[in-house]
Amino acid sequence: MPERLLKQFKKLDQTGPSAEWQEGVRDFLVKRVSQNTITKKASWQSSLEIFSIVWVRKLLPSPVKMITALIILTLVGGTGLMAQASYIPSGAFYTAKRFGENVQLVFAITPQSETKINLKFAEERKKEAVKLAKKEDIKPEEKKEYINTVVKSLKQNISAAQTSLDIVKEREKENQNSDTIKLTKELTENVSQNIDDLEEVKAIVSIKEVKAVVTQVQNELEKVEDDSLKDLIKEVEKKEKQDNSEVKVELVQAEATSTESELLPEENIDGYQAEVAVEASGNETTEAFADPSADQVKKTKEGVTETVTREEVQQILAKKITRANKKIQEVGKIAEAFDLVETIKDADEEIADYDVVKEVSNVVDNPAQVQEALTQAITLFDNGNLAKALDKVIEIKEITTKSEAIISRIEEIKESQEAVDKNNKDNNQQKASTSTSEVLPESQTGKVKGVVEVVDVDLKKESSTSTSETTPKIIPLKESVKKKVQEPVKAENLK
Amino acid sequence: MQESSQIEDRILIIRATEGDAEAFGLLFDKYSKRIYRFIYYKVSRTEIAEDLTSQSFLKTWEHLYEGSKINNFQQWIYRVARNLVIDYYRSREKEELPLIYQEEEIIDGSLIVDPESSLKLEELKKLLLSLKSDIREIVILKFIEDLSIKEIAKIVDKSPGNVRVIIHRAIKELKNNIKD
Repeated sequence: MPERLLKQFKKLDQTGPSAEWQEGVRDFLVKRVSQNTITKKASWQSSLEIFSIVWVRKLLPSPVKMITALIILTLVGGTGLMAQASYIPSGAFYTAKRFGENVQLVFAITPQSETKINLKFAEERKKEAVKLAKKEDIKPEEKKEYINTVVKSLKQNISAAQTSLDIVKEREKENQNSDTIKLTKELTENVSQNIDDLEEVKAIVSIKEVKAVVTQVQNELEKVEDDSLKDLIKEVEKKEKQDNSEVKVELVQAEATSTESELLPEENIDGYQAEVAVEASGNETTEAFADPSADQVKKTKEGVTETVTREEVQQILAKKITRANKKIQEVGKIAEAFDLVETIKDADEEIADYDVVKEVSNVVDNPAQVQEALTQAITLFDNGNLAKALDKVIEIKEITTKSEAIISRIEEIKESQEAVDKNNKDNNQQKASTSTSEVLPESQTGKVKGVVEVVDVDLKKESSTSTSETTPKIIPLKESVKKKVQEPVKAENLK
Repeated sequence: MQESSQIEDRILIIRATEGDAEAFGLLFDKYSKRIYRFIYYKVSRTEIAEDLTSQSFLKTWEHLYEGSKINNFQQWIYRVARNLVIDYYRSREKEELPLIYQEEEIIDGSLIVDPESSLKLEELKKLLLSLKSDIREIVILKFIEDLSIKEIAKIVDKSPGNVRVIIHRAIKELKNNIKD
């Protein structure tokens, strides 16, 4: 009976608020939502989310449909359509691609595989950056945003690879096996290649901010490269030391055997020789007998070949030296900056308080220092002292980075100064043209202009002589360095 | 049906958070009466029910605006409304209320009805308000709003078994109001 009563409660659903109240609250809420989201545009993510909600709803009841859709997706992915459109970070394909990459990382159980996957992805990011730089039908703001995103992801991938490699190293601290060295080599080569290839992005894109971000990432990558290269050099030197000590032991043993044979009585010598004759059935065995540790040495050497060789390390280091050599031209601008600051300082006393004046004075010797360090690095490289050569390259890098920071600040000042000068000049010209046209005949105004031109030319001459005296030239690299670089250094860079 | 309504709500939420204010208006249209009823039969005061209903929607929007996600709008808004009613009663305990409020809530328990006859709205309202608060909210959700046991369980934060027991208790309580 009470059940029937309960059913009658349904009638109470007629109860409700007044229409007036409802309308008022609705208006208030809609206005509130509009105010809060006034600048918000519907993003593709939300469209995708809505689409996926509807899509899932449609597909879920039918597993057949789901499987069909999956097959279609795989086929589409396989035909490379995805790959073509997958380098634009705001695209749906790109999100899918990155999602796939994250899945791959989740399945990378060991730190070794994690390192390898991250290196693979770093390579991918670099390719994307180059493609984006080359893409023409794209707005500069978008290009800037996309390249920044991609290049920063590259840096993240390399950092992740380095971290997982550190874990590998930590686990195998006691016995650094070939896997660790192989991975370190892989990381170094990958980073080195990426640094060089990012130069292409800088060469194509003219946007200042993009160049700054790419340079920043390159600097970060160089730090990673330095660390891993140090490890490789250590490994090469360690192996060579081992080999040398083995050869020494071998020589000592051989010497000891010969002295022993000299001391042996005649019959013993005969017996010994007979023994040798029995064992020495061929040349190879004779060699083996005469040099018992040769096999072992050979094996060790083969081991080194499998992991890392001096030549490989030299090749990477040579690339770094070439890079440092190119940077020298940039550092040369310090001299120009110094001249400029001095001029501004003389003209405007207020600027003398700027920190930058002090900084420029401190670093004015940088070009000379860098040149000297580079010469030393090349000499050390030629003498086979890779570790010290690398230290010199790092030193050059530090100086160039500092110099570049100051140069960019000076350039900013220069630009603003130029803008002010231009304004003043325009104003003066306007004044002059009005006054001369009012007072002077045409022939005389020409004379005045001529004087200004002569003064301008003189100033230009002066500045060009002063910079040519102070700006360092790029050192032509020695053949030894050039040979080690896979891609030959472009002639114009070496002149 | 229940699932499609949920999907519809999710789409409206996404649209609202992306700047389509009308989408939130549609959510209000869909749920405002139900939330109002739910609150009204708990507080039995029109003004308070209106105030708490608008607060429920406003709080929900603020939650969405902060970037939080709502997977099940119906469940969410009922829970917000329920918490607001609890807060309302808590705050009422602390302050002395005007006499009018207290008088209005006194329910005449001596109402005896014939379940076979069609009861008037006022009678039904009296019967509903005579039920204990925890039982009443489940009766509202089950018999007025037609929600499933599972949905009710999620709103009142109880197990489905518990909800069934409470419905059974409601039947037992209502027996006292039935003519022999």
